[in-house]
Amino acid sequence: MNAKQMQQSRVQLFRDAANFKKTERVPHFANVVTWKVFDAGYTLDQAMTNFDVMKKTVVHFLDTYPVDGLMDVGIRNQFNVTEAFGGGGYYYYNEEVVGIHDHAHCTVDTLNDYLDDPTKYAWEVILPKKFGASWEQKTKEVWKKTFREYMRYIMYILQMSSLTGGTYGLPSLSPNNPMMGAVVPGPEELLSNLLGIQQLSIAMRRSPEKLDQFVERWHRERMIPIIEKIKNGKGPNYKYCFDSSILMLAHNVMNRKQFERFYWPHLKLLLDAYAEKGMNIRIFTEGSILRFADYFKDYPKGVLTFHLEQDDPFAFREALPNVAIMGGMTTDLLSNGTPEECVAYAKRLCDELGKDGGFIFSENKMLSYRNDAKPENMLAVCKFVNDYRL
Amino acid sequence: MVDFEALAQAMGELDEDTVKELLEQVMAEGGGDAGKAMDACQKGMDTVGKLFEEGEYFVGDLIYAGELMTDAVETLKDALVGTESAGKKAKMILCTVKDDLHDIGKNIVRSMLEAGGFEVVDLGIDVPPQKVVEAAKDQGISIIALSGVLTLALDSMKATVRAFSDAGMRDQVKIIIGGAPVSEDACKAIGADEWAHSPQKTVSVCRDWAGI
Repeated sequence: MNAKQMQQSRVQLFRDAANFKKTERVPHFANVVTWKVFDAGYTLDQAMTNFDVMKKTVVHFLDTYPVDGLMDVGIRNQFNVTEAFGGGGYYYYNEEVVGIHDHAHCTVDTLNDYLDDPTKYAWEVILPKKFGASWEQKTKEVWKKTFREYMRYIMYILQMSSLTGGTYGLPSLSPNNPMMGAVVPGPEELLSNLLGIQQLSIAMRRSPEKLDQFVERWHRERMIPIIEKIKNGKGPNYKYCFDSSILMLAHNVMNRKQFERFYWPHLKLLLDAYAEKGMNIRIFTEGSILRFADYFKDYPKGVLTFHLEQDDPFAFREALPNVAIMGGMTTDLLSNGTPEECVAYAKRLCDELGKDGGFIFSENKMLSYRNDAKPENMLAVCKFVNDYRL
Repeated sequence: MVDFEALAQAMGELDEDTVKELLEQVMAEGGGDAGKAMDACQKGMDTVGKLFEEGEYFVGDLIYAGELMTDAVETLKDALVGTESAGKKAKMILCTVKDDLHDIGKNIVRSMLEAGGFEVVDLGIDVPPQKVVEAAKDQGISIIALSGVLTLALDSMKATVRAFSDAGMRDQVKIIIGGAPVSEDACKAIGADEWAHSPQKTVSVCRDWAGI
């Protein structure tokens, strides 16, 4: 099988598993991010500012660990572009650690300003805040240098895509939405970009009407065009493992009444559109989603795949037998267990969750730091899942 | 005379307008009952904790409750100076461990611990193990709560527990770890005494340890 055929066969394997079809084996989409940097013998600061080094870490990972998909093919956490622009102190990294300082771009009173003209708002409010005093000092030369670096980054992305797909036969997880960029429900935009956890939590109590206005408008202006494209489109796109991916994080701060008010009505319209077209959507649920399980119980098999973080996958299967599961392998075990313990748990996951389809093996957290997994455990698990026949 | 039962109830129901109105009334009456008002607010926070445990409230509600408590202290602070609201409090240390800058979870837990009768020595975020050990030693504190969000925080929690052992103090302190990455398995691997995802469990465990 050449790489292209391998890629297509893996897409089919992921699709079958997500559609609860019996498969010969359980596919493994490795939820590995920067852990592979350490595993390849580099440090974060070396890899995140050097495309060649990051590429070597990806090659090392794919040469060492047999997997069917890789969450980050070396294109996240690249700081060349922002370094060229002068950073700004909103992120930090060193040999072992990378992180971003939180910035809330709006207050509840400026949400409409953002929606009125996001570009103007970014230019006049977000960027000056992000880059501090240095924002005013960006010369034409700095912009040129940054643009050149950005183009290098684009070329690097194409190169990595060609390498992972064309050489290793790895499929991409999901396409961008029919418009541009990711599918982002309104509450997620509020939590991750515009208000942050603190402000959103307080606003849900203190200014709920303003949030109602925002999520309504966000849905009308951003989500309905996507929903219309889905409804008028051709349905599943078999170039990818899933037809779409969504991140859910904001539900973790909401009580049921708040979820019912601010989140569910609009999310339901989006999910219904995917269901209507027989499309499969992966939802990465950070934290826990189990307490909202009843909202998802009526979708037919083959529409939803939840990538679980904190939820017990066996309890989840019991609560939502109609929803495929991605995840299961805990970083606790990968970092503290023995290869034998890890393989025994991986076998249990495959046997109990995957024998009739509906299970994609993955790690419950994005493997990011050196001690998130022992290499010998990762290797034992990857080999086992690759070789094990159901 | 302010109705302190009504104040406790309003705090429990997160009814900001009523809480604010009653606290302003306390101050308008001279502030002599500021201690009782603080006790009532803390009683209301117990209700918040119970409703969280029952699943009616969630994380956002705890953040909002913390905001109301902060505002309450701000309103009453001039009158609270020199008064004692609930007698001598048990002292404990709380921090987000080294290499982790997340503070929202820590701050929620802090509000709940303070409402639960603790004087919390909050060492902040990105706190190295040695600083925790020194604070415990200098202030004679035996209850330590370590918070973190990143999986990387588990390494720092382990290093902090080890630092207490290296200082010959491990038997003198009780250590609880909390935050998204912790679990029963992580607790065992780190060598902590307890672990929690919920602030209410943290309060309950620490109260048991403090005997309050």
